[in-house]
Amino acid sequence: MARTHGKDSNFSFNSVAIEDELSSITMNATVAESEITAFSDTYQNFIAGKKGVSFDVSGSLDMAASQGDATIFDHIHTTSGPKTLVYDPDGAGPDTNSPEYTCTSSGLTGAICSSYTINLPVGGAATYSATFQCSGSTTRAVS
Amino acid sequence: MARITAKSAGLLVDEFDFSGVSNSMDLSFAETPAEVTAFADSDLTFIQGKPTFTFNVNGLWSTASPNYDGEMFTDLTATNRRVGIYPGGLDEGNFGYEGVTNISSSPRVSTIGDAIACNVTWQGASAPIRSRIIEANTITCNGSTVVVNGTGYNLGTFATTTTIVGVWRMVEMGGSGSNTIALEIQSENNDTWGSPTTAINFGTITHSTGVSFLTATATGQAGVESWFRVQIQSSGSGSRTFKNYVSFGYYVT
Repeated sequence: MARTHGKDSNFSFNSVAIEDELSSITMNATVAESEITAFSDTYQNFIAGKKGVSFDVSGSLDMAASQGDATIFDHIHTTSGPKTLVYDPDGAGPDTNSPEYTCTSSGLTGAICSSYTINLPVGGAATYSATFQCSGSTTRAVS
Repeated sequence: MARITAKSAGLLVDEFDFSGVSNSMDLSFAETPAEVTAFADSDLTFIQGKPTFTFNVNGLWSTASPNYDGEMFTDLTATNRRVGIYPGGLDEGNFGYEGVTNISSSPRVSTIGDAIACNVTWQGASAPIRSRIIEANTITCNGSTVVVNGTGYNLGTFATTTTIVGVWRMVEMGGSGSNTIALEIQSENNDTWGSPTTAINFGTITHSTGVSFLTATATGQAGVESWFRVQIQSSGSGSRTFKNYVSFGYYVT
């Protein structure tokens, strides 16, 4: 049974690697379950709908050109369509036992930043958090 | 990879610098993707919606030097106030955000064990810009014409589908009399500035004391000129010294 530390995760959005800013990445994979329980059933029964993937990330704010802030804001600001998002949990993939998740920009497919928040407390570091909604297929590559 | 503290973040509301009375700021940019999943799709599918933004500023209740409370109370019914927030402070070269906003809430909070707070939520009223301070220097007038060229910055080229924006805040620092100040943002295709083009023209103002605040816009140039700088000209008999904060950014028209 493998146990893997999260310290080496990689994450990129629109081909800009931002793991050097991030300290937390959560991939939310959901499937809407529709209840189909009938009177004669002993237990509740559900049937799976379509799957969806979104990401919540947070980290240190980097205002330099071509870094996370500029990349994410430009995407929201210009509404330039979905972008490619890549998440490599252990930073070693894609390989067997080291999957890499990718939502590739193509037509309606790709990741959309639905929220981006910058936090500026006088007593702490400048930080940010963002949520990316994946549209269309997110693949899990192991080679 | 820069990591910065927020301890020196700058807050500007039109011509006013309220950095000294604010202690926490959140900038939220959002767009709500609309679900457009069809039966034939294997995964949930979305398209981008319209973006919006809010700035939440927590601050200290101050009634003089600066009169933050008074200005924020006045701004309850004002419209289109330009809020500028610079995480690294108001130094030249720093990036930040400028947005045209209206106040959506502004509570004053008194608790027995804490300072009185004056908090403000600014709702974005139109497109914000990711701005850069391209000038934060003084010009001292001496009775004759003085021309000062700022440092050039490579900010990229801008298509005609964009609007480039300049924000100029000028603070009188001392001296006497009155001076005429002209300011423009120039562009050039390199940092040699052989034949600069006027990218944004703020025009000319006559100034003595206090603070002036101007914004100016222009259509993106669709050219190859990616370098931008500020040129300030002063004239008049006064001997005033002015500090100029000039920010530059763009939005999609």
